[in-house]
Amino acid sequence: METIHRDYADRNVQFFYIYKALAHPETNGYITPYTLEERLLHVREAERTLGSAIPWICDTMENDLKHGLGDAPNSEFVIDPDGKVVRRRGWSNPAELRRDLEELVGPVERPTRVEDLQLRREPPPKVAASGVVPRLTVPGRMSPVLVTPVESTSEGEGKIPFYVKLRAEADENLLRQGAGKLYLGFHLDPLYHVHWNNLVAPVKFSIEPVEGLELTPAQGEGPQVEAPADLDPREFLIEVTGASQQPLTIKVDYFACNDEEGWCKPVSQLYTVRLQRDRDGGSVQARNRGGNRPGGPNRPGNPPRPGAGPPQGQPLADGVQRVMGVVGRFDAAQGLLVVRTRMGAEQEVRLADDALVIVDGRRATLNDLQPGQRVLLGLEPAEEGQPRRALRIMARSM
Amino acid sequence: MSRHLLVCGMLWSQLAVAAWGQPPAAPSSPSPREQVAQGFERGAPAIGATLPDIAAYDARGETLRLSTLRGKYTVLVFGCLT
Repeated sequence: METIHRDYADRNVQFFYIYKALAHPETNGYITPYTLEERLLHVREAERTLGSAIPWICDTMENDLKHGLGDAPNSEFVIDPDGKVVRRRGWSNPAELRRDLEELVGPVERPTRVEDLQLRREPPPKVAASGVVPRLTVPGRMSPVLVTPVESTSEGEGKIPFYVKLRAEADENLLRQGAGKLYLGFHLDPLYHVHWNNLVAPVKFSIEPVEGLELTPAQGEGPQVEAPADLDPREFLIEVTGASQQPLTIKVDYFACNDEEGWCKPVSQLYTVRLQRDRDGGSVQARNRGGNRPGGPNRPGNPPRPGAGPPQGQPLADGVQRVMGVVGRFDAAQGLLVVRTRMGAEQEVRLADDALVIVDGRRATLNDLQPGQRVLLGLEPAEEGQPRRALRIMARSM
Repeated sequence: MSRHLLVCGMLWSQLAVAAWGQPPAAPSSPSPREQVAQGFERGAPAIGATLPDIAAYDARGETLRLSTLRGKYTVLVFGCLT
C-alpha cells in the first residue's frame, strides 16, 4: 500500500486509512478504546509504530463508517473525483489496487518497491513484564457482549482515564438461553503506560446482585503475583443462571503505577455489561495459549509484540534499570540501601534525595524503609565507579 | 409380516437412491471469512453508487465528511492496530 501511495500521491490520487474498531483486541496488548480521544490515541500509535505516510481518518465511536461501508475489517474502495464508487473489495489487495490505478490514472514508469521505502517501524510501549500470570482457558466459543464504562476514579483525584479496560464475553448458551458462562477480562491499556502494582492487594471485582440471576462467583480477586509489576490481564469466568434483562453492574478496584510519570494510585471503576452480542467487539486470537503471544497478520496494524518488558537488570528505553529484591541494610544518614536480589547477590545503591518512595501502596519517605521488605527499584543510568542512584522505590512489608 | 415390511422398506430406499441420487448433505455454516465477505457484498455501496456522506474525524479529531474528499481519485482502506 505504501509503495502505491508513493507512486500515485502526486498524480491526483489521495489515500486514507480508516481507523476502525479493533478486529482482534488483545493482540500485541492493544485493547478496545472507550472514547474518541482514546481511539485518536490509537491513530497516533498506528502512525508512530507503522511509519506510514498515508493519513488516517478516524471512525466515530458508533462505528458509522464501518457500518455504512460494508462492515468488513480490511475492505478497500476506490472513489472517483465525482464521489462515485468505482472499485471495492472486501479484503484489501495492493496488487489489484495497483492494477486499478494503472487503469484509471495510468501506469507508473518505475513502480516503487517495498525495499525502496525503508519504513521505520517502532515497537509498542514496554513498561513491565508480561507472560507472568497464566491466561485463563476459555471454554468453547465466546462472543463479545456490550460493555459500557461508567466511572473511573482515584481517591482524592476525581475522574481519571480507564487505565484498565473490561472485555466481557458470553458463550452461546448464555446468549441464547440465559444460562452459561461469562468471561470478564480486566486488561491494562498499553497507551497509558501503566502496570499492575503487585506489592499491594490484588485486583478485586464484584458484581451487584440482580433479581432472578445467580452469579458464581459474584466477586473475586486476582492472584498473588511474586513479580512486583506485570502487564497481564486479570481474568475470571462466571457461571450465570436464571433469567433477567437487567444489565450487570461490575465494580473493580486495583492499584496502577506509571513509572515514567512517577505515580502509583488506587483506582476504582464501574462498568455495566449487557448480555447482548457486540457486533463491533472483534475476536480475540489465541487467548488460551497464554504467555507471550505472536502478533497478528501483517495488515495496517500489527506491529511487533509489546509489553514483554526486559528481564531484570536490563535497561528500559531511557536507561533506567529495574532491580527487584529484599531490603538488606539501609543507612538513611549515608543515603545507602543494600538490596539482596533474587539471585542472592547484594547490590548497593545510593538514594536520590527526591526519590519517589511507595511503601505498602502509599506515598512514604526513606525513613519508612525496613530490612526484609520486598522492593522494586528504578535506578538511573550508571556513572563509572559510583553506586547507582535509585529514583523510584516501591516496597512492601512481608 | 413386519420382517416383510422391513425388507420392502430397504428395497424401496435403495430404489429411491438409485432414481434420485443421494439425499443432499446438510448445508455447512459459512466460515467467519465467508460471513464477512457475504456481509460486505450485501452492505457495501455498490459500484457506481455515490459514496455515502458519512461524518467522521481526521487524525486531529476534527470533523471530516466523506463528501469533502471529492475532486480527486480517493483510495480508502480500513484498518486498525490489531
